Amino acid sequence: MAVYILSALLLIILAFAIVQLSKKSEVEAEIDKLKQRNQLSLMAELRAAEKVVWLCFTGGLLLTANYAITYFSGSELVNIPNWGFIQWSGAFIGLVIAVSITFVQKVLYSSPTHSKAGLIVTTLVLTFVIISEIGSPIEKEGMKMKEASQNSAVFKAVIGEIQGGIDTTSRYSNQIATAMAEKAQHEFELQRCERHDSKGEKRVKRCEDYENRLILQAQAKIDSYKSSASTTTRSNESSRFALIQQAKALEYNTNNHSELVKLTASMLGASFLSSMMFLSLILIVAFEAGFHFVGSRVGILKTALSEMGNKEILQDQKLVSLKKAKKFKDKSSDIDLHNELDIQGKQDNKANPLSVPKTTLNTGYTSAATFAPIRHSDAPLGTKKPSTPTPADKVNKSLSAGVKLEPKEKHKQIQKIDFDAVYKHIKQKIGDGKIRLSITNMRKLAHRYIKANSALKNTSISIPETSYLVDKIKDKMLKEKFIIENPHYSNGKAKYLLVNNV
Amino acid sequence: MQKFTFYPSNNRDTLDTLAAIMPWLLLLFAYGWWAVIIVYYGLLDSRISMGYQFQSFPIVVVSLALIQILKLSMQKHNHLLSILVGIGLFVSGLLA
Repeated sequence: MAVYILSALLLIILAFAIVQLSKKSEVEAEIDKLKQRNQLSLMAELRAAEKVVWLCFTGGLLLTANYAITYFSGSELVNIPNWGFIQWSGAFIGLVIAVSITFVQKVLYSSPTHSKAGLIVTTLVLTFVIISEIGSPIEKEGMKMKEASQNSAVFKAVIGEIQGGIDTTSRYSNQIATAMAEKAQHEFELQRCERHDSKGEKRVKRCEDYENRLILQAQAKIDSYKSSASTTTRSNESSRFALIQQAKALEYNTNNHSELVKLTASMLGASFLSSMMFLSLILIVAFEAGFHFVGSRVGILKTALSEMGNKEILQDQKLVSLKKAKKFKDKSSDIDLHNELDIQGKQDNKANPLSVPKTTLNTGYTSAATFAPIRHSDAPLGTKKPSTPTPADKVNKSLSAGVKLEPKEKHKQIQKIDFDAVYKHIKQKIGDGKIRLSITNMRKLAHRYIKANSALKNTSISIPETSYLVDKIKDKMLKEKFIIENPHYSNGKAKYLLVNNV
Repeated sequence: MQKFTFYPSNNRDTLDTLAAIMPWLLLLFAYGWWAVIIVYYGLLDSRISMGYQFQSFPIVVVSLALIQILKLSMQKHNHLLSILVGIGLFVSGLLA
């Protein structure tokens, strides 16, 4: 009974952990806390957490699939070489179910908060998952015990004894067969006694008496052997039955359970099966609570990064590798430069809110590819702009002379875009108030427009390329004083304002 | 190297030093447990037949995931989860 109470307690702990981890207020507080941190470190944490989530996914899938395949195929995995069509079909169904359920589980766990419906679905999925995941370690422990039992010296000796009984029976069979052959020989000789006719009737009679005597002797032997065999068989059968019972007990010798199972069984006064279930449940509850913790961490990090303006990057899963970002950071201390450029921009705005800032601005990206177009130079901050033209200078120059895209070599697709058409479209939408003014919205709109109207209809345009394009659009809007930077910009407030609304 | 501490303190008296190295020792123990008990005795032990050894593979992966979760939960000072995962890791070694 105690083992069931403790098992229920473990399940309650798991439910409590899941509810606690997805508490809306705490999740929101954590997101706000994360938003104060550097985006690069958040990206690094997200990537690390995602790796752990995939590791958990693999582990969970293996546990679930192990049980589901065994269940649906109706055969143990160790018998795979002997599987036929039916077993493989069952295994395929089991595998599909395991993959689907584990994937749903990963998606549910990756949600930072759960609605009531979400919690119900999570509970239902968890029910299947826990049962199948518990099944796997139980099966494993059972197999280990069976293997140890069947390899024990005592079990092998008992099996040898049973086989020895069969040999005794076969020895009597041989003796009976020999006696019967002897009898048949004498019967044959009896028929041949007529050959002594020429020597007189007395001689024939003597021959017949002799052969009859030998036949009777052979028959006596046969009867004796049969009787012995019958007695031995009866005795063997009873001892074999005892041996088989002994072998059966030794085949699943519960003394071969691991010490922990035996200890749990004796401590809680439970059966070995219940103890195995309880121990497996400890492992699975820890695993599921951890999986949910890491999954929700991924969800929280993604939400924080999304709210910091990285939504499209996260959605498209086209994160520029962290290595590249780090390399870039080492090369030019870009993050600090970026932050200081922002500060510099704000200072400019304080002096003259309607002035166009010298800097380009935060697009919310942390990648090298995204930072590249907004850089003024790699020179230390506070120093004057170098005389050699930088990409940002080129942009500003091109803006003053009518926009001419000078993208990097990897931005091949962007050269095919009609910049003026995209600019006009976005400007019109913003001017009409159809979209809220933000870099993210402009990026989305540009992406949609390009996909729908340009020569790039059937090709793909990367996020860094769209970002590069939107940077230019935004710069041109600032230059034309269609928009200005918000002098009162802070976290949660719009970074740009429409001049008409100011 | 990432910094693990039970208490977010920069003081370097004996207790804090212990608190700073204990998580590393725990992680070292966890990896040792995983390598010796779970991988060696669960997966590579030649006394058990090959087919049954393969049955340990899911537990090997799950326990590796548990170590990563343990690391993460320690970083986030989630003590309850760290304890739960630690117990789970211990049990997984005995079930592998």
